[in-house]
Amino acid sequence: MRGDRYATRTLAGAVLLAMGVGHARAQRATTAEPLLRSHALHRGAPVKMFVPSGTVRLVGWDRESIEIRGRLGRAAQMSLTGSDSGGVKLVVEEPAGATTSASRLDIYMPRQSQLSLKTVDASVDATDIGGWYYTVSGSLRIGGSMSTVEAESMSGDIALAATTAWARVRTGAGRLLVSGAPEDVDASTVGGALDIATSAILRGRFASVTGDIRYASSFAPRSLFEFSDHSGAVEFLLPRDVSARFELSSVMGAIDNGFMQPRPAASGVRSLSLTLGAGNANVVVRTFRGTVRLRSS
Amino acid sequence: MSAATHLDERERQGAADGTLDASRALAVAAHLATCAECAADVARLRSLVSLVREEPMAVTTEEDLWPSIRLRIEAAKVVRLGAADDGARPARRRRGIGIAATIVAAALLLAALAQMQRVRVPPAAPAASAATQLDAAFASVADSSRAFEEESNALLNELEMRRAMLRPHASAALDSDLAVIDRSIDELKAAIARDPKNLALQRLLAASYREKVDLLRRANNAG
Repeated sequence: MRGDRYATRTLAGAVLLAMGVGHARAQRATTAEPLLRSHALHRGAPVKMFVPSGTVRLVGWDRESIEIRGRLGRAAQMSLTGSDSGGVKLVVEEPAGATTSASRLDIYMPRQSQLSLKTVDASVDATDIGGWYYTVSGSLRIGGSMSTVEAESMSGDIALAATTAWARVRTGAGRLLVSGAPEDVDASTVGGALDIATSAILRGRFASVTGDIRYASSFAPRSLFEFSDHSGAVEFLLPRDVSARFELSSVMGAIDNGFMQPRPAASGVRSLSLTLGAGNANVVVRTFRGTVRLRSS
Repeated sequence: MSAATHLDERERQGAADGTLDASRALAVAAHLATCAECAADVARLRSLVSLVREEPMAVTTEEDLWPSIRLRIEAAKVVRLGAADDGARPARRRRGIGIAATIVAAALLLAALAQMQRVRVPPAAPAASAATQLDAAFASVADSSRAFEEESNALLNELEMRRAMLRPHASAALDSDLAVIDRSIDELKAAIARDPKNLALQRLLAASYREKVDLLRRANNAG
């Protein structure tokens, strides 16, 4: 168990450090920032936002209102329209060619808001707000607790560290980290690394085309996992007392079993079925050329 | 819910493992009848669930074992009754009771193991042969691939019309990622041409098309 925590912390720490620059910048914003706009907003009302650049910190709170604090870039303009029950729309506009990286917004809204946020290259740090997040090349960091969350990017980094019943996370070349306590997770990248550092997942589907997938944790009892990668490696860093049944296969890649005393159920040239411990979780891994590795932490 | 909105993940999982409540199941079934993509994904999930359930090491509960135990006891009774006239009844009866007791003990032991290990209990094994199941899984995965391929072609056409509206960075990222995915698809198709009955290859192909569909949907949001 100690090894499990160590592996989880090591992976989560390394990835968060790499992804943390924008996050740290966002964390510096405080409520002392000047109030830009505020509006009454019922719980559960939809909130649409378009904030192309800069940093955005979103915080869920228990009041029935939305408050926007911070500073806009010199050339940027902001509008907040809508109603307390029908929802609000926040738009930050920038003149073509303007550089507004100095925009820094702290946005407080009801925890149960249904957010739909779109950015171009902004750094977003959200806590306790569920909904849909999208960025072209910015970064997304989503934490706290929410019922469901969807986060997508063309090429930006995404770090999900939330407690949620369902999460769907997608990026292209960006890095993707899944931690926290999500139950059902569907996550994929095209070329970016995909790291999973949580033992809370009950059903997980993780895929990449060329990015490496690393899972560093134990498995929840009765959980189901499917990992798929074309040419990236799929690596597991597992505690010695892990309990899971594995179906590993690779068409052209190697399968590297670092556990000393597994109980193989069946094996072929590039496939391996084995049970570790009581075999309480089910893990299926498929790659075309990528190596599959099992390591004990 | 319409074909344009698609089922969410929980509905797909529920449809696959049969855990939706009755009213929701009807709505989901109606959607699946009109949406090839959702139907393909649910078929794929079903295939995964059935693979897990088919595992030979799955532990069975006392309830699941009882019908077969009872059949075997009944079978033993028939043998015993039919042999009653030969004078060997008491010994055979004791042996029959011994067999039944052994079977019940084994059932209780397995049930206890199931409780201890908290393993998901599979339903009764389907009667279809392993080969039939493999064929069904293969057809299901091939259907998924086709559905994803058709959707990716449609999305690609849609995107080309809006290509000029994409930001340069998004356009470059899209082209780069599309090239990566298309290379993987080409490799997989070549491998499938060499080994057409390889289920793992078909599954990887479906996964690559799924990535392509996801990428194109994201790109359509990037304008």
